[in-house]
Amino acid sequence: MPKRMTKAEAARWTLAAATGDAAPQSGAIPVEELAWHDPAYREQILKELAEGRAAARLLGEARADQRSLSPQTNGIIAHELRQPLFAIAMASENLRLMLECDDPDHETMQGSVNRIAEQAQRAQAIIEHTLLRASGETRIETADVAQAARRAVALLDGTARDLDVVVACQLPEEQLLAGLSVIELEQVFVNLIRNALDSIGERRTAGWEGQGLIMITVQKFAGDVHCVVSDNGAGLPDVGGLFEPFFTTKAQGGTGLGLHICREILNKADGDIRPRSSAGGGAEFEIRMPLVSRGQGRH
Amino acid sequence: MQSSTVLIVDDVAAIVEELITLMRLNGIAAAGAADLKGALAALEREPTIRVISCDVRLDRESGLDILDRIMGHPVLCKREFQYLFVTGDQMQIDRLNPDPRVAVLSKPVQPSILIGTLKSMLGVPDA
Repeated sequence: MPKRMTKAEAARWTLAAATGDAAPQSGAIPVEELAWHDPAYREQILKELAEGRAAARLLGEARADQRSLSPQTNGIIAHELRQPLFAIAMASENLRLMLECDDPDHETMQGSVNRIAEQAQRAQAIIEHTLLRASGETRIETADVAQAARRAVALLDGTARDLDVVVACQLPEEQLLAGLSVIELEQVFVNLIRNALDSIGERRTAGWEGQGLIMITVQKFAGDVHCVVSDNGAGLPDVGGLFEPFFTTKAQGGTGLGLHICREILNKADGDIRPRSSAGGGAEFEIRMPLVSRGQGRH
Repeated sequence: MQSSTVLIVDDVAAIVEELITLMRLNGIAAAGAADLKGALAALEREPTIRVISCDVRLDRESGLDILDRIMGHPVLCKREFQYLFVTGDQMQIDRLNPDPRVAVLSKPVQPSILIGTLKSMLGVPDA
């Protein structure tokens, strides 16, 4: 009894036959075992081929096969979903413990609240991506940089007020799209604003009593989106490795992942981030990303 | 700052960050690493680390390889470590169970169980 070829193999064979190309090799399955040598199957395919239907039908079936999720794919999706769920479980436990403290650290609590929201969005994105994949569609990822900046500022507004820090923005009216999702872009701004808030706090701890200020500008510059996040905090450390994972200079024990994550995200959109000292003595982070039009983003 | 006794290794930054906070809130000082190279660097830097809590699936690496990496390290191989692997893969758990230095937790892990296990490995009484 000949072994039937898979639909994907049959589609390749049929296309090769239709175009006159050499029949493709079929992995480890010997050619003589393939269903092509089953006279009835071969006759059916040749009949459909003559009618111009076989290739389209078989390719359609092969694509349908690819879209159905294998146990391995299901395992990967389960693993991917467990990551945000695990982070949410830890962040909510941290919040519970901090609420029990006599003197809760509001900034860390805010961080855990943000983490829960961010990871819930991540889980949602994984589910949406999986559903899109199952339906055979792809999504073009682009987002308005100014909108992401606004969302990040709104997210940290309460923390900035508590710390008596003014966050000022100069954002364009027109949409400036970058090849990242709004969540990714928002994460970049959130990390930079958090660092700026910490830096201003550090300068105050050293005795400074001035008004804390964080300035965010977004503008179009040639074919790029150009953003600057500057502050009048304690300034940049006089050492390298700023973007290395787990590099931190924070006395309160930061995890040192914020800038690393920013660079990882921006690199996905061919963007870059550069630090420099700002005119007021604080730090300034300059971001450049290529402008994209809707439908031209990262798949 | 208290010296770290636990090293958290996970390629998801959000998880490392929350676990470090969870440890701190439970009186355990922890350090973090995103991959095996970072883990070895952290162990070299922090001689007080005694327990390594490691995700099994680390991007392109297997967290289980940390055992061989430490055994092959000229300095770290002389130190005593206990290992806690966190995984959702039952086959990986079966492969590890015979090793007495190794504890395994299955994802998703309850925070109280994770803390209880780490405290037990550190010899700290659980409140």
